[in-house]
Amino acid sequence: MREGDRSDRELHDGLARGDRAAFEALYRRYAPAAYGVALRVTGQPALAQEVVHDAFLALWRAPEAYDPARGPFRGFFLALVHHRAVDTVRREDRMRKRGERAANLEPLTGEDVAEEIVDDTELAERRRHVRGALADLPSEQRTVLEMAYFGGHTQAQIAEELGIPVGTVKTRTFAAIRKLRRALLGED
Amino acid sequence: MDEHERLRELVGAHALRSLPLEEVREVVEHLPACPSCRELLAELETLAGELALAAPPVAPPRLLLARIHRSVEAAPRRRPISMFAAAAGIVAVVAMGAVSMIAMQRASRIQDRAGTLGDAVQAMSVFGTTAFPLRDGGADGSELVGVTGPELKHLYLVGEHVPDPAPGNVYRLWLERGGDFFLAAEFVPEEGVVVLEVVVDPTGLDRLLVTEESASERTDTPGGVPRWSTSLSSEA
Repeated sequence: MREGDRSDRELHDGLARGDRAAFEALYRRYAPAAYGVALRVTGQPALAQEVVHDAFLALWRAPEAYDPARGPFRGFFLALVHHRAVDTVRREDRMRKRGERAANLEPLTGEDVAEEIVDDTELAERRRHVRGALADLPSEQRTVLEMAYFGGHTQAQIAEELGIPVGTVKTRTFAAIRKLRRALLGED
Repeated sequence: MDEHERLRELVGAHALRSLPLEEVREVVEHLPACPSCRELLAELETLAGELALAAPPVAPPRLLLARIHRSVEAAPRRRPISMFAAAAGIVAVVAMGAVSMIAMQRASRIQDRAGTLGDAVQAMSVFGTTAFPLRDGGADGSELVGVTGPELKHLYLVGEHVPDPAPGNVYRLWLERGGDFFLAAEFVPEEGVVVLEVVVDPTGLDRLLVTEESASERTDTPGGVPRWSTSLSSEA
């Protein structure tokens, strides 16, 4: 069986045993998504590379940090990348450049700009599903969610930027989360 | 809206990493007593990972994989730690790598202990923190501060003016729980600065101990020379 044909669970099991081929297969499967979200959040290739580097290194050094009982590997790993990306931009105190970053990025619900990326079938389908769920959100909910998730903004910062009360940001954020949870995780 | 519903909203925002420190602290203090919010957070962390797929995938630079491989070679997995970690409930030990240099550089500018703690917390985005200075057994002016992190499963060790161990030696961080010691990390400072992340549930930990030991000798209990320590019994 080719490494690319193995499931995430099989690859993670291999990784836990120190199988470098399994590690590299996970890299090839998830590095484009990881780098994509890290680039989107940080807005800077150098920082995004550091985020992806550190996330994969952490995965290699501590594969047991992923507990299969808590959900799919993909969610675990990409959440790790996202959180590191947000932490990185906050550390760097680059808030004043957020507008510049956002202006330079493609719309989330559009087509991929990196044609050389070939998702496997499941990942590509999931990507369409996630984008569809985001597109289905009311625009005001989608805006606050994207500012939080991809902009790394706190709710207070979002409120200030949009000129709305923090309570409204909280309400819209949780409403968006509730809808996404239902659409993507099948939960109410 | 009742108080619990408000906290569930905070849990959701926390999964997106959009809360300020004071609200993260509320979440962290609430989670241990609330199974439903812990379950919610676990689900929403998965959701947060899925949302990453909305960003256009981008091919990383070709050299990145080679660089990761070099880092793996330079910092191989510590098998004994994994073994001890399983026994201790320690999930992982992560040296923060290149990104941590940013925090290190910031940490190196810190002027006093309070500033050290505040900047360390801010620099490393460790939310919902409890901080505890480690007593310096060598009285050489070095400072180490432990910080518990988000969702009560991280512990950071941050220090400045930390002297290099003797040639052939390393520092080892030991966690004591119920009279048993577990090896959590092995490190040497970089230009006097230490920034380590240990993924661990700190609940029930009694003490942190840093020893200076021979790099070539491994034991399952602290050896060498005790250098820094602190009791966690009142903080954990």
